[in-house]
Amino acid sequence: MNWLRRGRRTLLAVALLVLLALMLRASVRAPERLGPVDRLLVRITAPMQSVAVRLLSHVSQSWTHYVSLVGVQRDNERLQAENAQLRMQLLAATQLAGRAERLQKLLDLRSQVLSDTTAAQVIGLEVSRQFRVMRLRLDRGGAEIKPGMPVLSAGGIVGRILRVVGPYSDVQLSTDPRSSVDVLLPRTGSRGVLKGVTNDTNYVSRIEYLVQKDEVQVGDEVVTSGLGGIFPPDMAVGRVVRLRKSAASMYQEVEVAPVVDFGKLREVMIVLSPPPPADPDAGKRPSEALRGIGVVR
Amino acid sequence: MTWARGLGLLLVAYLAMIGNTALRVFVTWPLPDLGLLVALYAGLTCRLRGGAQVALRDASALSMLGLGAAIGYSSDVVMGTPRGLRALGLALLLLLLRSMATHLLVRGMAAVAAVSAVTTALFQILLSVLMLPLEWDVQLLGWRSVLGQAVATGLLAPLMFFVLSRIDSRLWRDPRAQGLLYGNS
Repeated sequence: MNWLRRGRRTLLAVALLVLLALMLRASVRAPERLGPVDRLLVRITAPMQSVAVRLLSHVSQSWTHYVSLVGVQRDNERLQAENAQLRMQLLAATQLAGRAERLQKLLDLRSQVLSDTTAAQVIGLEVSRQFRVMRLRLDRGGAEIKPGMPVLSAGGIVGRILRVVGPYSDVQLSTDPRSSVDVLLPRTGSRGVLKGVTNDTNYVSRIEYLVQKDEVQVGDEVVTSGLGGIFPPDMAVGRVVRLRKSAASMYQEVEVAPVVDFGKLREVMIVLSPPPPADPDAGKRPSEALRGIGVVR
Repeated sequence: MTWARGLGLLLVAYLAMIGNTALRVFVTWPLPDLGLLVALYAGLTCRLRGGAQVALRDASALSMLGLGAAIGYSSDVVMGTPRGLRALGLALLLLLLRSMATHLLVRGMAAVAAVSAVTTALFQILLSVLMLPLEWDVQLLGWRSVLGQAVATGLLAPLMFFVLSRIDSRLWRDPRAQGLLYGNS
C-alpha cells in the first residue's frame, strides 16, 4: 500500500510539472490570451500595484521635502525653516510646472493626432530584457481600450496595448521583438519596418527591408510612416545609432535607439480610433480638388 | 508543511513582489528577486529543526512542488513573465532544495547572502534554459542584469530571512508539535 501511495504522489508531481510546462508553452505562443484565473489575479493585483505606486510616490516626495533638510544649523533655525518652506513651495511649484509641461505636451500631441485619444498613467513597469518582457501597466482599461491600440507619449511612440484586464491594460513596447512598426526616414524618404531587438544593455530596434542604396546616416531621425493605419504619421520613433552593410545581402542593417525613455514615463496617451486615411487632395487648390471629383468642370 | 505556513509564505511573496514591481517605477538599478527569496527560505527550512520535530517540519516533495508552483505562478502574473516560466523554475528549485535540505546547513548572514546570490544567478540561468526550447533566439544570459540582481538579492537575503523566520514562527503551529521538544520525558 505504501508503494501505491508513493507512486500516486510521484505521478501527481510529474503531472504538475507537465502542466506547468504546457502552460508556459501556451503563454509563449499566445501571450495576449489570459485564462479566468490569470484575469482574476491581475484584477486583484493591479489595484494593489496602483496603491503601492502612489504610496511610494508620497514616500519619495516626503524624502525630498523633509529628510534632505535634516542637517540644518541650530542658530539659523528660523531662517532655515523659512528657507525650507520656500524650497518646498518652489519644489512643489517646479513639480507642478513639470507636470503641467508634460500634460501640455500631451495636449499638443492630442491636437496633432487626428484621432480620439485618452490619457493614462503608468502604474507598473517590468523590464526583464533577457526574457523579452518589456511592458508597462496603465490605469486605463475597460471596453474603450482594445488590444493593438497605439500608445504615445509627448516624446514619441511607446508601443501598443497588449492586453486589457478590467480597468487596467498592459503595453507592449515598440522595442519588443514582437513589435513591428512601419517607419520612414524623412531625410532620405526611405521606408522600412521597425522591429525590436533583444538586448540586455539598452533598448534597440532594427529597421528591416532597407535597401543598400538608401543613403542612411548615423543620427538620422526615424518617424512613423502612418502606413498600416495603426500609428499616426510623423510621430517620432528614434534615431539611427548604427549601420552595417554587407555585400552578401541586398538590405542594410540599421539599428535605431528610441527617443522615449521608457523608464521615466509617467503619463501616456492611448489612441482610441485609427487615424483618418491620408487625403489624396492634400496640397491642391480647392478648385482642383473639386474638379477631381467632377463637381467643377 | 502546514497549509497555514504554505499560504502565509505565498502571501508574503505575493505582497513583496507587488512592492517590488511598484518600486521599479521609481528606480533603475537592479532590485532583488523577492519571490525567489521566499521560495529559497521555504526550501532551506523545510527540514531544518532537529529531534522529534524533524518528522513534523518535514515537507513532502509534492507540497514543496506545489508551493514553488504557486509562488512562481503569482510572480509570473505580477511581474509579467510568461505564465508558467517562474512557476516551473521555482517548482524545480524547491524540489531540488527539498532533496538537498538535510545536507545543506546555511547559517549566518554571510552564508545566507552568498547562497541567495548564487541561487539567484543559477535560477536566472535555469529560466533561460527553460525558455530555450520555446524561443530559439532568446538571449541566454544578460550577465549584467543577472549579476546585479544576484548581488541585490544576496544583500537583502539576511534581512528577508530574519523577517520570514519571525513570520514563520507564528504561522507554523502543527498541533502534533505540542510538547514534542528536546528533553521532554
